[in-house]
Amino acid sequence: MPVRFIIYAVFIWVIFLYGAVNFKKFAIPYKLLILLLGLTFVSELIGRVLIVRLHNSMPAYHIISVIEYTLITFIYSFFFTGSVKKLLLYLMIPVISFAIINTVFIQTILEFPTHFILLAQGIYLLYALIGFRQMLLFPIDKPLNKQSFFWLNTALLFFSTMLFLFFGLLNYINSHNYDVRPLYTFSYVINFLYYAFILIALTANKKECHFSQLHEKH
Amino acid sequence: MKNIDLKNNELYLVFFSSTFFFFCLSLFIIYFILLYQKKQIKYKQEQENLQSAFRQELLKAQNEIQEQTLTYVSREIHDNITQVLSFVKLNLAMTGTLSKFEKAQKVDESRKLVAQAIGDLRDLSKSLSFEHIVKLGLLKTIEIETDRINKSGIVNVDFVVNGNTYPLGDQRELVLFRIFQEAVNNSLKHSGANFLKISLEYSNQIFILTIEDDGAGFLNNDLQKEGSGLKNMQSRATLIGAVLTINSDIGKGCCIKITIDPLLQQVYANANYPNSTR
Repeated sequence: MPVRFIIYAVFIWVIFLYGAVNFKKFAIPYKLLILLLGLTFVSELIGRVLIVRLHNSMPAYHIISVIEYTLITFIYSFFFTGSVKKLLLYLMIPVISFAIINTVFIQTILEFPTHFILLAQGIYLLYALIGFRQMLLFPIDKPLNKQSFFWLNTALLFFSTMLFLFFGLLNYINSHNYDVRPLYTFSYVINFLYYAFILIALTANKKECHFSQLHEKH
Repeated sequence: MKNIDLKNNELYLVFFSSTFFFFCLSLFIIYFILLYQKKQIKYKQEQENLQSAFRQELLKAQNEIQEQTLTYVSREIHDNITQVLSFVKLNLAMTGTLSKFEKAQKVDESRKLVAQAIGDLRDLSKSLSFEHIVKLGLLKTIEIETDRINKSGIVNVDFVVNGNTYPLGDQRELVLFRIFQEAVNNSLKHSGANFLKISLEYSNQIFILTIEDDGAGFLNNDLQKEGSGLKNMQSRATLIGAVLTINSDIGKGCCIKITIDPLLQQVYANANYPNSTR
């Protein structure tokens, strides 16, 4: 098992543990985020087991990507109100349907579900941008670095844009038969930074004393 | 050699494209932070303006209450106490020519009148200054006011309280009382009503103050044309986070309803309230 994977898995585990220990102190969306961290950790481990046993970890990606999309949508539904919230929730039906169709007919269970992952990342990017817009529309008297919603949006914006870059480069490198190893190292860096932002968001929310509920009301 | 060049190319590609992306992303975040700070300053200014408007309105309401109290006190002294004391003076002046029994009767009568004047003066001393509202609370103050109106005999006032009472905060209660006072004054002066119903409803989610009369009423469309009194009441209600609705029709009286969420807190209002966010 590669060392960088072990470090990566331990990093997710530590953040999840931090969330689980302080679980009661977080607002509901951040509780869902902790759940997502736990499930991501489990899916990464399952992926590794599948690689050893079947030499293919793709089934784990098919499942976790749908779970991730569902949980992130629910997380953001707590921050948005009105028509945006409704759109977010109603959009889940066609998006999840597409994920199922993709897994059954297009990119089967042993292939990497790029179609769905790219669609989901596009949606996360949209969530982050709407989140930033909402922050601008309803500013609050609190330093930005202490606002968990800012860090959550930053994490998603960063991760989804970087993932697009990753896939773009991957396509290019594959088509030119270059070595993909540096790119995988790059993907680990993206992941580490993403989870670091998530950790900052969790720390900020813990200090906020359920500030998110006030934000929603506001 | 060619292989090394290719590897270098791959690394450069990854390095430059990711640097470019990071740069764009950082630029976006920096732009957002700057924009947010600008909005934050604007928001703070708005809050300060609201706070200042609230303070001004509160001061205005206090002055108006004081003014009304002084008018009431001066009218009471002129119309009631002075008359009673003049009568006592006349009574006592007449005693010189009277028999002992009649003198005793006049003195007794004068004693009763003086006692009445003392009572009236005591009532006057309890007049409704804003310090009294803060001290007694909204419920007791409205109760005293309705008693006073009932005693005056101008209209019959029915006062109803539902639910378990709770404080709404000094400043909010003061503004609510001023709205109440203005609504009652309008009814007494302009509506020609014979009956007034005042009700206070306390529930966990909402507080409702209703002032209803059976007077001449007016068309709801005329609200815009009405004097600044009704608009004043509405803007005051908005300032404390309340909603004021007016329902009226010609010949059907008028009903003014002020609803407020007791848990709603405005940053600029009421630091004394126990559940205040400040």
